[in-house]
Amino acid sequence: MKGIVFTEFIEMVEDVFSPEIVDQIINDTELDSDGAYTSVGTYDHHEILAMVTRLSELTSMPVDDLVQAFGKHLLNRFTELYPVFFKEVDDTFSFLDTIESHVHIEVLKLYPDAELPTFSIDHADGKTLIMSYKSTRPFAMLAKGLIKGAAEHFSEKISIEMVDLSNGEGNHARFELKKEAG
Amino acid sequence: MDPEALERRFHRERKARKAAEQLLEQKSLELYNVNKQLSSNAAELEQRVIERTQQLYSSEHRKSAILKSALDAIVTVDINGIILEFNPAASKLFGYDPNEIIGLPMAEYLMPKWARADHYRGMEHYRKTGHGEILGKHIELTALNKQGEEIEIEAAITPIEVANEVYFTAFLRDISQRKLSEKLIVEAKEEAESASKAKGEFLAVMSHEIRTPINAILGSISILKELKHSEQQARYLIMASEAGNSLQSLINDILDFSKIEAGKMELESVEFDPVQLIEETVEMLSPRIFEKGIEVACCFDMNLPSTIKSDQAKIRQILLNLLSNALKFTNEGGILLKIQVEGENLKYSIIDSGIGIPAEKLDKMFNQFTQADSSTQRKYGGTGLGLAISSRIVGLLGGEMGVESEEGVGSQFWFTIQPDFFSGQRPPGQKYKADSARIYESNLTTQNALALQLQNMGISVEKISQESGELSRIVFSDAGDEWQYILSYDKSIESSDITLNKPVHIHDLQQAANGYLAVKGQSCLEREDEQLFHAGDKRRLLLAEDSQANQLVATTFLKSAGYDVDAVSNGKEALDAARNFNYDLVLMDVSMPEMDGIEATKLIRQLPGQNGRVFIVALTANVFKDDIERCYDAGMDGFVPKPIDKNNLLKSIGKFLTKSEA
Repeated sequence: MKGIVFTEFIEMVEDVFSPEIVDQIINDTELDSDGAYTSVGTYDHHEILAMVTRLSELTSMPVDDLVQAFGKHLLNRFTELYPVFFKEVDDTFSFLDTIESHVHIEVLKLYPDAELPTFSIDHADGKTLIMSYKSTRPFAMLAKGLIKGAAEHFSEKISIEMVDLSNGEGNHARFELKKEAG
Repeated sequence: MDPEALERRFHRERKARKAAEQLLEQKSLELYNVNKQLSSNAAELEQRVIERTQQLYSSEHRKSAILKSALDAIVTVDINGIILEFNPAASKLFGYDPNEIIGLPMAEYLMPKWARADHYRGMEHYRKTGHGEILGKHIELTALNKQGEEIEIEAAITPIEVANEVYFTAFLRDISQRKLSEKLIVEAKEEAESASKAKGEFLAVMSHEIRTPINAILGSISILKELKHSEQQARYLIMASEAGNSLQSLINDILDFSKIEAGKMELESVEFDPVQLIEETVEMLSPRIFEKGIEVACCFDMNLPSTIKSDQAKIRQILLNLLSNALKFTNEGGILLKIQVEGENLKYSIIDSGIGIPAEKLDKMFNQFTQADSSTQRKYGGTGLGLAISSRIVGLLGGEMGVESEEGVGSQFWFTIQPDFFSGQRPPGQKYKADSARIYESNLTTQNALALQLQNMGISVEKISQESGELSRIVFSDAGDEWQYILSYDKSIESSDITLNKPVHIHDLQQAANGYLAVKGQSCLEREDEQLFHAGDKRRLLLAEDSQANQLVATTFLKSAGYDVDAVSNGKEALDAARNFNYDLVLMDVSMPEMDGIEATKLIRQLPGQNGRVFIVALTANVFKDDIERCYDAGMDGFVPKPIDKNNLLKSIGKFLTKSEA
């Protein structure tokens, strides 16, 4: 998994909680990288799962909520780091449509070895969008957070309903998005 | 944060930095390698560009060299007809510098106005269909040069497609000179043909014109001969007569030749006995044969048909020509005449023991005006037309003519004819009374020919040599019985035995082999003629002839045969005379002043009663078929050709007078 996910996670935990919590999570968790992340590196995704689990224990917050919150934060950071992907589109549905056709293609140019999830749009009209998430990793919740972040970025009220299609494993899910009036 | 946590964080940050640095270095190396690869690719590409450019340059250079040195003008245009290339030869042909013509529409500058519409139609057709009628072919067309002159050129135009663009390359060549030469050749040929035709017509007309006065001369001489004259006068008359005859035969030759050349020689087809024809022909020449002291003998296949159908007169003419030649060039020995049947053809051979012909001259023998050499002409005379005429007549009769010869030994002329049909096979294996014969003869030609002929008849032969001057004879024998004949040219020879006249006729020989002779002396033909000549007693004829000389000749001939003759000088007088007296026959010259013979005949035919039904016979020098038909159309009954031949004249009119009696 790309290092930016790890560095952003560390920074988010530092900001939201404290540097001490970050130090404790890393100390308490068996990590191959010893928690020394750089955004250009690549790390095992189990490390982030272990860290989120420890954070949940320390803060008594559900893992799903934490992951979803991280998704929202990550989308926000992407808009700052890679504004080019957000220039061409002006609403959530349009942006989601460009993930496969544009964003992932650009990512693969820079990181040919990146293992990316697939976001396939099964149905879309002006109001509703149904899409599937599929990955080798269990980050359906992260995806939900990212979608929420996108809706926030475009200042749209969108209801998101997620159905897990992988027996709670979190690596295959269906999202139904509905634009809400106002 | 407590110091331990801070230290841990410091260590994490440092480790992360090092990992990032290591990654950076790795990426740099990758970049460096990729860059290096790129440079190498770029160099390679650059090299390929250089090579390709060189190739293009060299190909362009070659093309340019070809264009420059090409002998043909080469002009390339695009699909719209705009000139793109114009080589030096094109500059020379059209007079334009490439700089002033490239980029301009070809048709407006290099084609005459009248040809442009066609050109634009052709281009339009190509744009629509991709086909052009003239493309890829050699064509001749008219172009325009800078001076505005039209030039004849030969062109080959090829379309070339390069990167979806079509160009036309034309190879052009100036053919003005060639066209001019062709025109001159055609003109020269036409001129030559018309000159040749004029020559032929001139010859024909002159021959006609000359024949008329010659006729008067010869007729006058023959009349003079019958008058009393001194011995010296007689010699002059003979000389004049010989010269006149030779002039007449020369004119006849020329007329024959010009008829053949003009394709006007007409053939007749009559039935006749080929053996009789040969014997008659030899008979005609027998005074000259006797004079020369040589012998002529004939020899025939026994399976020769008794009747063939062909042109008897023409074959006689050929035989006379060949025999006369053989006689002319043979001073000792003899001449053998042979006829053989070869399939559907008859082959005549005339074999002499004369001076012969040099080998290198043989193939020229049948050209007109050619003799073996010019000294021949001086020594033997002749025009050299005879063989040319004969060989052409043989051609018309469907045969061939040839010659073999050895200098100092003799010549053999032969010709074949293809008769219209044969009939009347001679009875094969006829049995004669004699079963053997002994031939006492000094002349080898005659002895051999007689021996061969007798053997053909199934009689065994013994040849016995004689000294010259000894009496020639044949002794036939049959079972102890013997009878003999003297062989002689001298018809007045008297002997207790019967004489066989040389050259020996096959019929006489057959009779002799059976022990008897039916005919002796004059031929049957001559006796018949004499009867005809005297059938005219007490007949009165009208002669219409404007030439005083011809009038005198004809009158003399007619009177000598016992006719009464009234002579008039034109058609008008003839008409008056025919109105006033019921003549037995009118001899009518065709071309006369005041009223010609045709007109006079038509008017006589309108006279009432017997006078209008009188026999009218044309006298004319125009003996072509058309002329004769004109006579018959006018109402004439027959015609006598000029120059007037006595026998012919008397025979022709005798025929009508016999009819009128019946």
